[in-house]
Amino acid sequence: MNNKLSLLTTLALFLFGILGIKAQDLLDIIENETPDIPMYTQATFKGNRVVLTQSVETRKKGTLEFLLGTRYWNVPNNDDSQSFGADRFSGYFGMQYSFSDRFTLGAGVGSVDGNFNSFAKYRLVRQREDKNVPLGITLVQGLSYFTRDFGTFTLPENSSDRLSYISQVIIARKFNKNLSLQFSPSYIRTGTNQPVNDKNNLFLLGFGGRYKLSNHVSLAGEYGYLLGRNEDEEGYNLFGLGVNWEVGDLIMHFSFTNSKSFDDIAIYNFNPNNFHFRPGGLHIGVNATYILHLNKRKPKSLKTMEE
Amino acid sequence: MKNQTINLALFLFLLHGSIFGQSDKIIARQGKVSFFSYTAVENIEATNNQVISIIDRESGEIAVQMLMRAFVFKKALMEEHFNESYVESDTYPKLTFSGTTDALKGEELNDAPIFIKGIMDFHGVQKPVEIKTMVQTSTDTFVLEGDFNVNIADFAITVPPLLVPNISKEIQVMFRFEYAPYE
Repeated sequence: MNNKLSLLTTLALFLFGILGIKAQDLLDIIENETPDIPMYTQATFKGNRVVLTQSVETRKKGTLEFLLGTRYWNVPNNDDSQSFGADRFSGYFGMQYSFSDRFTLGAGVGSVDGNFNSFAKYRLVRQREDKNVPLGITLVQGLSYFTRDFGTFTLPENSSDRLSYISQVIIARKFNKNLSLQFSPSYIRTGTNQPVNDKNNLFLLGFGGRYKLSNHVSLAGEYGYLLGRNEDEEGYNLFGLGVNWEVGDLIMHFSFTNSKSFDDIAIYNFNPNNFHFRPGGLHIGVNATYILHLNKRKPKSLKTMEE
Repeated sequence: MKNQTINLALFLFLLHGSIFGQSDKIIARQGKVSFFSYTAVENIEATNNQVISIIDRESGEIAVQMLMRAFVFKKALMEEHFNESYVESDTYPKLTFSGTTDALKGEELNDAPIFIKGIMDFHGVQKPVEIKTMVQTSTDTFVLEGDFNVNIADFAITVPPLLVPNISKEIQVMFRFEYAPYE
């Protein structure tokens, strides 16, 4: 009995010794030789926006991004409408430049609210593949200047009251290759006492998500809950659904939202209607983001080395 | 008791053998791999400088591994698209190749082309390939270099219809590995 056992052991060891040194072992050696370089999780969101709200994402250094946004909607109770397709239209043009992989500055102009806005975005923590850093954190500071009445918003007489500020902390996690979620507690300082009467300091809880449908198409959703607001007469919380489609340097966003504006503050504060699919509640957005690399990297390929 | 002694002796012999075998391995830690896709619409190229390769000179086996995320492109967005939408590096982080050739066995090597047969494991597809490789030997280094073409459809990489003109069906791959003794 003892003999058999030891014979088996010998045989096993012998076979292991022969079969052990195979190509698979070479790959195992390579696996041990691979240095531990931190890999940052990429594409938590595909763009700098989830649908309308700021996402955790920033572009790489030297990237100039143009955003051309359009939105179309119908006016409720407008049976004798003569318009083709949609009663109203709003547009937005924005630009942003990434000074580093972490820091981006942007500015834009919107038509519906005659709004000028700008923002600074800093990527504080980047999620890593190796589980040591399970989430990403981005800070956003935005500034908006309103120049026109629109919807439920009346323009204050004093021009200094037309400025509003928003500070956001965006916490996001890419759970797997398909699903990313973000939570963005925000503080809004309005100069206008609107939409909530006599309140200049507002707090907002923002939620966003992305689900990849295929390699080039993903679905995005977002919700912005403004604390202390009496919904209905003081406007409705932001809700948006979107589809992102990437085509090389161009990224197309198609969206359904209850917001007429593109501005970082107006989208949360001034939505006169709740989201629904009837006129007034549904705004169809078509946005195009074009990405220009001003600062191209120059990796030395084997061809350039030969020349 | 006697049996155990024999076992121990055998075990030690095998152990000794495997330690001895290790000295026949050579490694390239900073191998370079570049790939090129040239079309009328745009030229895409990327380079990875952190490819690792090991050769066992005793058995003539060779293994190569590269991380998809280590490929550097001129445009940052291209790099993101490459990883996210084409090679899906979240699911398939690396490409491995393991093969054998008698030409790499033994002491003497000549500066001549050799053929390495093996299996390329990339994007979830294992495909047998045969790669023509140039050997360059000098006193202290040993270099393998060459180029070959990869048909992206063979490795289940799909290109959306709109981008078919931008990406070549045949990707040219170039490689260069400089080997040193493995300790």
